[in-house]
Amino acid sequence: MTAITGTLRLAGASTRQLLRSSEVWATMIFFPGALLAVLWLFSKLRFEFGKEAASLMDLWVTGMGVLSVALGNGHAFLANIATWKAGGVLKRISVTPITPGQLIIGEVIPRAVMGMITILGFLVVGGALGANIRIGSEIIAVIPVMAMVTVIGISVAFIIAGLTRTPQNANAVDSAVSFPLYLFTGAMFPLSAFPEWLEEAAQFIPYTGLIATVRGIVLDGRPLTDFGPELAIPAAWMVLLVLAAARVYRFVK
Amino acid sequence: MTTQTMPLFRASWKMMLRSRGVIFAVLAAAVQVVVLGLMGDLGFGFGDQTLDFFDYVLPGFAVFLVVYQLQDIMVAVASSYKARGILKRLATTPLSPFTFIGVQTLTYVGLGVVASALVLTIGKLVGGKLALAANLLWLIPLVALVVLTALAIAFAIAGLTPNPQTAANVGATISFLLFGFTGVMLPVEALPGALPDIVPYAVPYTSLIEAIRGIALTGDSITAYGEQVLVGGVWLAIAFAVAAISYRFTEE
Amino acid sequence: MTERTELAVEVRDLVKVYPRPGGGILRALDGISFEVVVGEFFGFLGPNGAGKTTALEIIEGLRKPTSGEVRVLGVDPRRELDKVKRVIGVQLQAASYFSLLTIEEILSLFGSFYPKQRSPAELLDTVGLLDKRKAYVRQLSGGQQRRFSVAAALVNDPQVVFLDEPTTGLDPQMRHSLWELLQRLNREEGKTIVLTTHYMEEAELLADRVAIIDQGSIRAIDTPRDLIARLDGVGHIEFATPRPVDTEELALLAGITSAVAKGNGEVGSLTPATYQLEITEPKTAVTALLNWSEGRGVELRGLEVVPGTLEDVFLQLTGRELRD
Repeated sequence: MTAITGTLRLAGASTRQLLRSSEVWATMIFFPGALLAVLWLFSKLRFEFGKEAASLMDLWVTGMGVLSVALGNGHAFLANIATWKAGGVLKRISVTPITPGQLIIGEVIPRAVMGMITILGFLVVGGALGANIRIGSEIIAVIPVMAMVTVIGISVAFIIAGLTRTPQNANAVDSAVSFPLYLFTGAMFPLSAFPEWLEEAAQFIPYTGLIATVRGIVLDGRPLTDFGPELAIPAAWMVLLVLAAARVYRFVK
Repeated sequence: MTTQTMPLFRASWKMMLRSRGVIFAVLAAAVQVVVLGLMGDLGFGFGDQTLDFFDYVLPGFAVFLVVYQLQDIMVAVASSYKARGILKRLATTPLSPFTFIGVQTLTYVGLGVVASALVLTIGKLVGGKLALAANLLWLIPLVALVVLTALAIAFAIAGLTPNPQTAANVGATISFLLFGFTGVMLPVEALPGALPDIVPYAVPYTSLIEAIRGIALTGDSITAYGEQVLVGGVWLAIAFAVAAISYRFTEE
Repeated sequence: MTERTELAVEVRDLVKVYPRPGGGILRALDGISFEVVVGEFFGFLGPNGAGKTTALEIIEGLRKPTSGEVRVLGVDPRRELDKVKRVIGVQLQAASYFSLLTIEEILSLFGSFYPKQRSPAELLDTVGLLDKRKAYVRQLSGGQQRRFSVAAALVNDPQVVFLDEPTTGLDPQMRHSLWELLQRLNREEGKTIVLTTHYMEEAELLADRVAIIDQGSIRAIDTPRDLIARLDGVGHIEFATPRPVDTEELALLAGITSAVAKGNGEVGSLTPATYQLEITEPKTAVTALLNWSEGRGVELRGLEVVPGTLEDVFLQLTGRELRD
């Protein structure tokens, strides 16, 4: 069995487990549903900063929506992989030829697919509920961006699981880490409302450029190619985080 | 019962403080409030109204930042006790489930109140609007009620879900819904139709957040918020009832 | 009521029934009855799924019986559960403890649940873990964790201790060390111990009396020795010979009840024939066999006397192996 076949087999097993778990329902239906319900009910609300204004719905569907839908599975996923580590599943796999990298990629593939299907549905429904987003061919351009968001999210989950000792600790770190992400990446609030130094610093967070790209494509109709600089930093992060995850999520202590 | 509870209290405090997640949660809340304070120019608009974002948001959100993290932690802790057989082991002792849940909860409430006070203070220091009046002391019991409600919800979630992973899922969705509808950040007044009148009754601790914001911004006495406190109290009782019924030590 | 108070545990016609997922019912316990005398070391021997844990957990008050009576030191756990909890110690089959408290702190905490408690240091010393008092449970080895569980079962200096498969999964050395501890608790401290196990040697070594349980029913209760003595035949002799011999002749020898050929052994082949003889009296049987082999000029190879075990008892009573 080559490394690729082995990884694909793992991806297949991971998909099966995913479909049998409550994670799928939570990630694809409940959480996005709750988010859309909240946004739709608050559709009158807008942010005003300086002379600009942005509707909460537009901002959050493309910001928070993108982030939380793609990462929504991160919460449960993290609970899962932290429990693997604590429960000896990881230890059992470590005596097989499977490498950490293969295991991680095997998990990433079905979740990336799930995340992308969900975000597309999310954007379409968001548009139907009143967000000013373009739901045409632009949606296709969003796919690679979403893939990057998912990969980064999952790698971070593996890093947290690898660095914490128990699932409880992992969960706490995850909560503490996730919320600032919504603040500093422009997901929740327009970055231009922040002082300039913070706005610039925020560009170095992996998701900032990705959210800006999604907004640019879906709200303003710009092509993906316009966003080279915005995507460069996230791309670098993605590589780093995947490598770090493979090193940190150790099988045996 | 006191002889039973004091050692349990001490043990609960030790476990909570040794859990790095808790310290991290409090620090994270403090940092986030500072960052929010940096958004000087941000406002909310709906219809003709405009509210200053940070002023409006600080009191409720400062509390929420602490509360939702403690809720998440408690969901994980409570569901792991169930999954790992700790509850079953406790069931063979004279300790009552009620005492156990009560003490664990009060331990976290103590921390929640202190952390919220800290975060509110920091918020004030970065430019938030907080009336400096003696009536601010009323925030202590109010915040305690909010934390208690959130923790009771956490135990209910842990009790009603079959395993820690599902508990985490359900917990995250509920956390988000509470974020959306408790008025901690999004003004309930911006909701359509009759919802602004219904939501304070229909959602746990929304009314308490309203009272907290009111007292924090204007320095009013708690007597101006009697109805809100009552509604909050009712929701707390409901949450505790659900928790006590669902979070069993044994399966039978 | 003197007779009642001398009994640590009384169980009468205990039934526990569960609905099956697909329909129908599962009788986990089919009307079992037994008594444990104060100061006794009582063993439940049976394979996985026999109902041992179910029975124990009903006595401990963790589950409710479908019907039947239970008393612990004269008290009914269904009516006065709190009273029962105060006087018993329990080690569950698979339980965890708080991961953020040291083992000394856990013992102190659990002790605080009871009106009477033993000093954590003394308990840890009893189980040989005093030098690990500041350790967390996860820092202990498997054997040490088990010993800690036993210590936790003793925090309230209980009169009756219930242990559910305490040595499962431990290596022989750890198992022996735990056995020694349990024997001390029973013989020196006078504690009544009720233990479940699927290890025959554990029941034989530790228990004053053993109840053999299978598929929810108790098949026999007696001392290990008497249970074995009840067997048709007490053990067997095994040996091999270079050429086949007449089993009927063997069966007629003194002390031997039956003889069975186990191996092939054809005339002129190099494969030895192997035999198993059921015996009632080892010494008589061996003497008779040796005399016979000398008289016939038959070489006995690998002569082995295998005494009867509880495993044989179980097999005879249930028709199944203890370990499946």
